[in-house]
Amino acid sequence: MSRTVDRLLTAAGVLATSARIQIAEMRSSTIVIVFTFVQPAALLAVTLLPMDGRTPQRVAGVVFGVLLTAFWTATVWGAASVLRRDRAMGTLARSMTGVVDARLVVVGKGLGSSLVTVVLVGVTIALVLLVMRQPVALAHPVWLVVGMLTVLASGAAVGLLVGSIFVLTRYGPQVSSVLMYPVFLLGGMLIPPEVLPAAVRWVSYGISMRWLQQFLVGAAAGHVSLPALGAAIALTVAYAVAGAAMFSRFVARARRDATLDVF
Amino acid sequence: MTAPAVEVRDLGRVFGSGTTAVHALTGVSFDIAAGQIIALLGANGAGKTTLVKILSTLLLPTSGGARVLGRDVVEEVGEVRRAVGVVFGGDRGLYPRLSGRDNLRFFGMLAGVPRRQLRRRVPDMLERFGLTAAADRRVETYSKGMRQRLHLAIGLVPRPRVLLLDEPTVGLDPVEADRLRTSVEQLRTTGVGVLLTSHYLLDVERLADRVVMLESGRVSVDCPLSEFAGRAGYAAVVIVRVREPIPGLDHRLPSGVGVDSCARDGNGTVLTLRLRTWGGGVLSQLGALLEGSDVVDMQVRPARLEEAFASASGLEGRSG
Repeated sequence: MSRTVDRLLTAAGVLATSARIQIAEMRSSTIVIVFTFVQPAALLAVTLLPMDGRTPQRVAGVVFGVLLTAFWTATVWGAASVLRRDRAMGTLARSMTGVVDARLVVVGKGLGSSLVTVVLVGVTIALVLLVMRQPVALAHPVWLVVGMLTVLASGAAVGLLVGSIFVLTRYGPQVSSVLMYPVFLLGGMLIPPEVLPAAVRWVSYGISMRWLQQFLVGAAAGHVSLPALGAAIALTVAYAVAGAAMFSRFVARARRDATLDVF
Repeated sequence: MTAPAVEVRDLGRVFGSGTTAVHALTGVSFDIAAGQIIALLGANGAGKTTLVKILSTLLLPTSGGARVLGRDVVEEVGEVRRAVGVVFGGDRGLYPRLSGRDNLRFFGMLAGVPRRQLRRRVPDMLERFGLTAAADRRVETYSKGMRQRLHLAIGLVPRPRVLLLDEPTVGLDPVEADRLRTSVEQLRTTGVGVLLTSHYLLDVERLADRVVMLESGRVSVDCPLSEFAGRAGYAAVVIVRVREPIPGLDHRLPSGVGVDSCARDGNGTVLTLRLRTWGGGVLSQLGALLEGSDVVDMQVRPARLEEAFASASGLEGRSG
């Protein structure tokens, strides 16, 4: 029993320290400023300024769309950079040959990256709204917190899924760019899915951020959509399961094919 | 009889396939007993890193196998990882923005050390490697020597039974290097089997019990250190500077003494002689030979390990 508790505490310690390492690394990264300050401020300005009839409810829709778009950018970039940085620093070998599952390190770093992004983007949005003296609806703060925690979990799961690809390739930044922009356009975060062509509308159904957007905007306006939250949680679990399986498979392949250049 | 700490049998690793296949390791076999330090030598590209990667479970062999404390490196990965500690050389392999203590604790956790034990072992290791005062400073402020000591502390915090040491003294000043060698030497008494990869032959001379040398992925030498030193083909070197050349020297040299080089410069002639055996008889014969010559300077030294290495790896002509 105490061994199990000790293992769980060790896993929690690895997650927490990995998150801390990622946060420390992000402090020195200039691209973080682009993703968490420049991009959300610009997106907010171009969507809110020309908008007629800026009701707090409509503004909440834009705010969460911008927040999730910036979050997606930072998450995909973060997933690409976690293993790349570890490889460059020579720390990847220790993670990969540890007794504790290396996936905990990747998930922990993903959580750290998600947390920093959400907080910084949140601060940027709050500042822009303050400058514009623009009120925003936040009708159900508790459900909004639940939604934001799901955003963090979803970000970590996406990080594991995307990060596993980078065990096999050195072209992390290029792959992350390819993943980033189609989701901007088709993910339903900035562009409402109902205005997308019917042939590509289905793409957004497989993206957890689309459902989280729906849930958060609803909770902010006063009507909580539990099916949307359920869909986001289900997709997050699916990402995590697929990510965990892919990571193990890719690490096994990397050991066989020597693609994991860690020395 | 107890199993060796490391057992490598007919190990092979091929990268790629067909005509572009690279045979990094072919039929490599050797053992490391508990408490034994084996030096793994070889020129760049000889297969040392591939072998270390396989033993640390980062890479799979394509033929043959390896066991650590009787556990297979392919089938029993978890058990092997519990038994093996890896110490990398150089500045990499640490989180520079974390403190030394946090690095040690984090990698200890990854190595599966239970939290309670980690609480005791981290301060112990910091103390043992002289890092207590700097334990809470960021690693980016550490000197090379401190980083290297931290590497060793990280490698030893799980109390491994087998240690893979990769260039442990690279970039260290002589005092730091010596301190590190003493720490490694102490492992012998605790029964840890060590595989030492180093280009610094002083490390090998000071630490190794046996030398395994790889050449193009194959074991070319596997012998005790004392025997390896003899592979230079001579026991000692005598360097004599005389004002004038000694006529007919080649024919007058005692048996077992050969001329390695004879160079003239503005201050006379420098003769480098190799002595196959080392003894007072040879020296007095040489003394008799040099009688009457105007000897300016004379140095005698035993054959160096790098000369044995150069000779064993066929680099002799290129060595300085």
